[in-house]
Amino acid sequence: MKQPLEQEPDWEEVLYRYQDMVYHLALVHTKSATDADDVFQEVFLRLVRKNSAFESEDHRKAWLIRTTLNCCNSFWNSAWKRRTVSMEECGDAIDIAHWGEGGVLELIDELPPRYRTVIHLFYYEDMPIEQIGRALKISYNAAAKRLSRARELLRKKLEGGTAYAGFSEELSK
Amino acid sequence: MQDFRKSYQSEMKKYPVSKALTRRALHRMKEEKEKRGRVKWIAVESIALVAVLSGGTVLAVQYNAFDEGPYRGHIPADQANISQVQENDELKVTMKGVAGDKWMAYLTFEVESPDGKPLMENSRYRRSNAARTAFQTATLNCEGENYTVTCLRIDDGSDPTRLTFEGSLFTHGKDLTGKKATLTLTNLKDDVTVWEDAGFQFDSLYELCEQAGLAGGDAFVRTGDFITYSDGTSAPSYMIKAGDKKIPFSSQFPNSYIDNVGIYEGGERLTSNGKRQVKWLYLSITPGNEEEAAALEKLTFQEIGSNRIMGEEQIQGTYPPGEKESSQDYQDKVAMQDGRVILGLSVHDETENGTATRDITENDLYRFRLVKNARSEEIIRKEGTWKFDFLMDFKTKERSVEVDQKVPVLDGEITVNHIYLSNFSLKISGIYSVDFMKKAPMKTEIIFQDGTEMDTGVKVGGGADLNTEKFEFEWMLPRGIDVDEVAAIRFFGTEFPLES
Repeated sequence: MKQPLEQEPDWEEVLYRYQDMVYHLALVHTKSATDADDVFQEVFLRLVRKNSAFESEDHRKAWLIRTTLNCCNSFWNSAWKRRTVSMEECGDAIDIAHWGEGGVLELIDELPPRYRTVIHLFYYEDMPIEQIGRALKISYNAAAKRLSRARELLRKKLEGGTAYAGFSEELSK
Repeated sequence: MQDFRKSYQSEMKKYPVSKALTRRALHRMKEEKEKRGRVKWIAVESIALVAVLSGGTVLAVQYNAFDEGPYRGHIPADQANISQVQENDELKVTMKGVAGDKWMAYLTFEVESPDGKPLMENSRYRRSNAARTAFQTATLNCEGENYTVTCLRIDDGSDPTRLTFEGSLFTHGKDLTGKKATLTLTNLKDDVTVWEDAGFQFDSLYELCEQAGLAGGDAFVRTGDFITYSDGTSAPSYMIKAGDKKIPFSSQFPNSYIDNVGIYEGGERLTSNGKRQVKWLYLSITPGNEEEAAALEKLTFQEIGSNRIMGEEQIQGTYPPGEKESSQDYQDKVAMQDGRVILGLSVHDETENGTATRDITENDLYRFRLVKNARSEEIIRKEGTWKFDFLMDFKTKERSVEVDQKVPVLDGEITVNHIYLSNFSLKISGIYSVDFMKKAPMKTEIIFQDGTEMDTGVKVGGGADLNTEKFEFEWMLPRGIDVDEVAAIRFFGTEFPLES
């Protein structure tokens, strides 16, 4: 029987392990470096505040994904106001004016967030559908359907443009 | 040819996490760790089933714990080949049945509150989300291997002291038939939606609409596309224009007022009604000041009596780019809003086949009010570990046929090579020469010897390879079947008889 993870892990190690995942998921959703920075910090603060152990690394990863998405949604609720902030105020933010210009990111950017999420988790995080479903708290069926619809939308966008191999690899990883 | 996955990963890696951000986060985590306190237990409140509406009318609203209806189990309710009880002071768990094949296994178990206290809550400011009640961990150990069990409620939510779950697990072809297994469940957790009173001064939206009067169609302007479908058609998106009404609506927003309200089309297209969209209620609010404007964005609709929060999806005009609508549409709407907060509400009915969106009616307006700050909270409802040792008491029955038959699909054809059917699974493989995944509706049915049919539902696995033109699709059947009773499989309209 697997033991739950430590309630007081080495936070630095946890941060380094998942910082890339949290930041990029936030970036894909907020498309703003400053917002992604805020989400990033909030997610790891909530991780520390969470006062129960995770049963496994998968469990922790799923929790981090959900929390990142929740934080992104919260930020979006007031996003239209925050967008009036001038570029100078963005400080050391990365230049996302050219975010994904002409590439795959640009295509993914045009997808509704729920589809962006599954595409990101599947292609960037290499997560199998079952794990995506668990992370998003949806059934395997729903995750597979969502991914399939996202891929269908992407395929449509790819028509007549760049051809990508590996786009149609088997879904049942 | 570029590789999609690699291209995506490589583009994304152009935006690394900055060292400064890592440093800041670590610093704040350290501070947080030092000041952290324990989360307090939240008491279960009684379930309110009745709401008092205007004019002294008492309307009993059916409390439905599931927003979109409960999940349907795969094992018949009367199948109880296991009967084991594990109990502590917190919870009594009864394991009732197991079924499966060599790809999937399903377990049913019931949980009961020994002291009769509800395991869910539905009160003025809190409501359990029944679809998300689950055990914190659910693991099946069989022959030294651990399988994660996904647990979903299959009861109808009518008894808050007794819940029934179906657990499912993928065995990935490993035949667990007749093997000894141990199911371990820990901590029953609950997902509770929490919200706050918004000081709404009307009994329901009806009284608000009555006072304001509903705006006509000329109060709406098309802003773009709500959604574009794969056939190239789209469902338009609309915005309600600012009106000249000044109707105060909340004691908490004394300087803000409703300036316009109306019913107009919105949302996705109704497939059963051609291109028509359903009618939504649109509400336009002019904030009194910046502080109120920020708080107004947290308003949401709530169904009176059931306490169901209608969710963020009903808020229109405050969508981020890409959420249902294009970035341009979003920007246009933001410009058109000019500081107003626009809320949109659509309604749906629960049917046997899921939810059916429909036009909002005058009667519906009686059902809703405005609340604010709805959020989700996960709590441990009952602590403990419940362990069951039992036999995986089922047998895999399977049938496998080589067919090598061509099937017309759209303007081309596919070749079906192989069909595999078992108690709970179906797999079909072959070769294709037409882009059927994208264009053709994939409907697959099982035809039984008695003439009845079963839709296999959405395929859940497999895929098609553009390079090799081979496909293999997998379905988890909606219920267990006796493969001996199956006469044929229908795939893209062509029937494939299954010889014994």
